[in-house]
Amino acid sequence: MIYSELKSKADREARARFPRALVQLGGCTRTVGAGAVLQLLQAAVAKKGLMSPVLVAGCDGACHDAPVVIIEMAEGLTFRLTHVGPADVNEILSFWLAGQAESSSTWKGRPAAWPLSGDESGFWGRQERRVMRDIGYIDPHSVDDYVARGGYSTLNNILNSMSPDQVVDEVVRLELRGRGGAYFPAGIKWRGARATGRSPRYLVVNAEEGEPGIYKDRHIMEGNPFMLLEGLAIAAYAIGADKTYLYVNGEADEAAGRVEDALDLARDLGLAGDNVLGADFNLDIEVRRGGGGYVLGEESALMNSIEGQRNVPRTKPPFPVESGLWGQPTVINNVETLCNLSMLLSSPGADPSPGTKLISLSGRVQRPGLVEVPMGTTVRDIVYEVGGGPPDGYDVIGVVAGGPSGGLLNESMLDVAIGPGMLDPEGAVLGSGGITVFDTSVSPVEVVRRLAAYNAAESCSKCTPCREGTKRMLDLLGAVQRGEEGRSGLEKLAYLNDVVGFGSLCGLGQMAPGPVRSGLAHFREAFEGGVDSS
Amino acid sequence: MDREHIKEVLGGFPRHRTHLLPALRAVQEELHWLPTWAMEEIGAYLRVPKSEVHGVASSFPELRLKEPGRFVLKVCTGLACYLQGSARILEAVSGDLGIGVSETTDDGAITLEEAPCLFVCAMAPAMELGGGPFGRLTPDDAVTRLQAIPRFPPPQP
Repeated sequence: MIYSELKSKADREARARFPRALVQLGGCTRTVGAGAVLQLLQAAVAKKGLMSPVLVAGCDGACHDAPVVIIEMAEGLTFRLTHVGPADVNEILSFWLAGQAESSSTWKGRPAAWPLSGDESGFWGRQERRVMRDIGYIDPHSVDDYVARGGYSTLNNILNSMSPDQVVDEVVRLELRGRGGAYFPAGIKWRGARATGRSPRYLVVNAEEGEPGIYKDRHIMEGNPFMLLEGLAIAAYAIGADKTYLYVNGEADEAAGRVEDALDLARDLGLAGDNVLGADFNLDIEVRRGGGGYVLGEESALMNSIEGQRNVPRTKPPFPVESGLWGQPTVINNVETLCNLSMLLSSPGADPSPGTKLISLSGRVQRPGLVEVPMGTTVRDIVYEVGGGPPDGYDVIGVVAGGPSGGLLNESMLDVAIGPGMLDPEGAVLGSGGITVFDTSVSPVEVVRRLAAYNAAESCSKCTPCREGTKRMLDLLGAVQRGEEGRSGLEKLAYLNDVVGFGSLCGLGQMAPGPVRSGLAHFREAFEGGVDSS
Repeated sequence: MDREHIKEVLGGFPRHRTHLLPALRAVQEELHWLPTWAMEEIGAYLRVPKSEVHGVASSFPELRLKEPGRFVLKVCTGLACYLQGSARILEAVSGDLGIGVSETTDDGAITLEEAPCLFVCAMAPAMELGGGPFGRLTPDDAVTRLQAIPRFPPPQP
C-alpha cells in the first residue's frame, strides 16, 4: 500500500471511531485486574447491544492510577477513568451511556475530562511526552490510529527524498544518543556499519530489557508497536540492513505478542517485507525471544544467543559494527532510541536537542510509573514533583539510579540533572532510566547488599574477577551488616571494587562495584554503624 | 509427551544453530522443562553436540533443567518489591506452603521461587502464580491466591 492510501484510510477510520472505550492493559496493569475489567466491560457492552468497541490499549505510564479506562465520546471529548475495578463496570456504562459524559463530568469525585485542564499533581505537568505521547490513547492492534496521528509520514518522506547516507548524516547532526544506557551517538554507529562496505549487514533491536527496575520498552511495545516498527524501518534503511532481528525479552509475553501482531499487519499492509510503501526498500524482520539473565541485555551476549551460543559477552574490540553477528557488520539499537527517530526526523533542519528520557520510577513514592521527562530534569523533581514524594510519615533518604549497574545518591544529592553518562562519579548513572526511591523504612546497607546479591547471582562467570569478586563483595557486606568485620572490611570492599571494575570484560562486571562504592561514599555512617557495633 | 511429538515441534525450525534458543524455548513450552532426552533430540536435529546444547541451555535462567511443580509461584524480591514489603509476602506464602525457596510441595503442585524482578515495579510488591501476575499485594492476598490452586494431583484420564 502506498502512503496516501494508508493515510486516507486512517483519517476516515479516525473520524468514524466515536464512541469507543480503551482499557489500558499491559503487563503491569494486568497485575491489578485490568484484564478482568476488559472482559467484563466487553461483555456488558455486548449485552446492551451496543456497537461501540471496547479495545485494548497500552498503559499510559501512570501505573498508580491503574486500572484506567479511556472513553472517547467525540473529537475533543475524551475521559480518563482511574482506579477502575471489576465492580465499577456498570457505573462506567452509565457514565458512558446516560448522556452524563460531558466535559464537566466527574469520576470518583475527580474531573474525568482528558487531558486535565490544570495538573495539580505534577505527574503530567513535569513530563514532555514525545515517545509516550499516544501510548494509552491509541489502539495498538490497528495501524490506523498511529497513521492518523502522523505515523509513517517520516518513513515515507525518507524513502522518497533521502538517501541512506543522508539519513545517517542527519541523525549524526541531530546528535541522537542511544537510550539503552550507553548514550553512544546512534548515527556514528550506523556510519561505522556502512563504512565497512561489507554485507550482509544486520540490525538488532535490543528489546531484551532485563535490568531490574526497568519497564519502559515493554510499555512502548504494548502501547505503540508501530512506532517501533517505523523507527526500525528508518534505521534498517539508513544502515542498509539485509535483516533485522527484533529481540524481545523472554518473559515479556504481552509486549512480544503485540509486536508480533503489529508485524503481521505491517506485512499485510506493505509496511514490512519487500518494497515497503511501494519504494525500492526491503525490510526483513524476524522476532526472537530471550531466555533470561541480566547479561543477555549486553549486546555481544545477545548476539551470541542469536547465533545459538552461550549467554556470555564477547571481547570488544572488535565492535559489533565491524564484526557482529557471524562476523558481519551489525548495529544494535535499543527500542527507545528507535522510537525517537520518526519524530526527530519529521521536521527537517531542526536543531540538535538532548531530547527526553523515559524514567521507570519505582520504590517508595506515592506515584510510581513510567514517565518521560526532558534531559536536564533534576532527580529531585522526578522524585518529589512527578512521583509525589514518599508515603506520608516517611522521609526519602536516597535513590538508586541505574539499578545494579548504577549507584546510590543520598537525599542531599538529588539536585543532580539527568543526562547521558554518570550522575555521580561513585556509581549512579542515568543508564536505561531506572530510579528507585528508598526512605527511612530501610537501611541503605541492605539496599546495597541486595544490589550486590543480584550482581553476584547474575555474573555469567566468564571473568574470574567478576565471578569471584562479586561473591566476595556480597559475603563482606553481610559480615559488615552483622558487625563481624571491622574497618578493615570496608577497606577490603574498596579494594574489591577496584579489581572487579577493572578486570571484567563487560558492563555487568565493570559496573558491579557502583552500588557498593557509592554506598560507602554517600551512606558512610550507615556502614560504619555496623562496624562500630562489633 | 514423547520423542515423536518433540521431533514434530523441532520440525518447524530450519536445521541451523541460530535456532537453538528458539528450539529450546519451544520444547520447554511443551514439556515445562528440558529433560536430558529432549536436549539430545534438539542437538541431533540442529546438529549441535549435546554438551553444547546443555551448555547453552544452562546459561539462560528461564530455561529449566529440573522439573518444576505443576504451578510455579515466583515472588518478586527485586529492590522495588523489597522496599514495598516483599519479604512479608515471601514469608507468608512460604509458611502457608510449608516449603522454602526453590522447593516443591510434596504433592508436586507448587514450586516456590524468588524472582529477581518481574518488571512490574510500579505495582510492587508483585508475584506470579502459574503465569498469572498479581501486584499491589498484601501477605493475605498472596495466600488467598495460593489457596485457589488445586493441591492434589489431577485425576488421570
